[in-house]
Amino acid sequence: MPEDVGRSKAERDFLAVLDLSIGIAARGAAASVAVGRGLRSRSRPVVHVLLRPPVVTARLQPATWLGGVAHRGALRRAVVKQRSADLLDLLVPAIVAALVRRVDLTKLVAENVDLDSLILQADLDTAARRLDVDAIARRLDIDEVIGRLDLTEIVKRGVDLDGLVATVDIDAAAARLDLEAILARVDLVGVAREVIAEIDLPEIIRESTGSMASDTMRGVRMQSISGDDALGRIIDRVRQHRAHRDAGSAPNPQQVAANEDSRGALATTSDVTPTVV
Amino acid sequence: MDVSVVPAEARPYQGETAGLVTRTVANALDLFCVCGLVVAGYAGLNALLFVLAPRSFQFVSASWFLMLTTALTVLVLYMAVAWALTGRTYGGHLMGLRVVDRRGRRLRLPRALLRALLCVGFPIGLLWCAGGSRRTSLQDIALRTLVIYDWNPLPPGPGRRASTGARA
Repeated sequence: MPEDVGRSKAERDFLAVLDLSIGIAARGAAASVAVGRGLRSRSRPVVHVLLRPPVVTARLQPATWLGGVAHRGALRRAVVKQRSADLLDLLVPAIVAALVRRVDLTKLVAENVDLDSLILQADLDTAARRLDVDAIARRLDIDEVIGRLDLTEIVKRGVDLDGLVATVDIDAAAARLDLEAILARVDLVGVAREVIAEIDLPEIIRESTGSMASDTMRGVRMQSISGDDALGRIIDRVRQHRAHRDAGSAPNPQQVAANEDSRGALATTSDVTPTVV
Repeated sequence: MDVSVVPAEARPYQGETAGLVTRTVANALDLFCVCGLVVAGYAGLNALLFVLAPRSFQFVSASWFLMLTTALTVLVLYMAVAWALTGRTYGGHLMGLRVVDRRGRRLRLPRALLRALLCVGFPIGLLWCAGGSRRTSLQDIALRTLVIYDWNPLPPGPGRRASTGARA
């Protein structure tokens, strides 16, 4: 036989004996069934008379007694069935768990199950329709998923930004902007002041439009200011000298202090904080 | 950050009281202007007379007293009006000076007129501003006014008050 290829002689002999035994048993069983059927058809009237004797009341007939025994047996069977089910509920999970722990199911499935064929037979569309996608999406941490993605690179590779921008009506978008509100939030005057002060615009204007006359007047003014200071210092020295002479060799301390204050006030002219004009 | 039209080297002096040299130069310029005004007025008057009666035209003869009185009157009016309107005469404008009260405000006309009269009538009072830290002339002391460096072209008014320095 083809399946015997590769088997040893002992195995083949054993299988031959086994097949012979099974064949004999099958023949015997078939003969027993045939005999039983013949006996049942011939004995059926006799059994009926024995179970339901015509002269005996129905309560005392053997069939009635046997029926009661069968009923009690049925009740007992139901009880046993229930207990067996409870016992199986208790034992099967523990046994299955123990088996699963000892068996590599993944390897077993990979070696023995044709998953591709199984998937081809499955109606995935129906299964997908049964899925509650919203519930799944609610459980997703979208931020974490996005954080793992390089969106910039994805957009660069997958999106035609030039084409996309070409479809945008920038004029319409700009028309909807409230420029007055934007400008109202900007301190334009302050910005202009800072820019003008930073580039010293007055100086630029003076230089660009500067005439000989303005430069000359600027020089004359500064010279006259220096002259004021110089004249003030000279007069103060003369006053101080005169005060010393009038007081003799020992000058009046109060007068000296007053003169020092006067000189100090003049000397600090250039230290005055720039005036806001 | 404030913007100033005043050159950087002059900013420390803005608001300080001016000394004798600057004020004398400014007054000399004013005097020169007034002389020019008087001469122009005299020329204009003669031109008008010439236009009205060319045949009988003769130059208007004026005595020195009249000329001097006219010049001083013009000088007083010129200074008073200039101080009341802008705070500075033309000489003060050229030298960057401005006449203000002790609070830095422009003078009112009566006070400006009184100051002009005192300046013209007693010019030697200007010498009082030569020394000392306050640099105030007799007119300034009497009328509580100040002459300050102020190179800003805008006159002090409701929107601007000239600042006065430590010497005031």
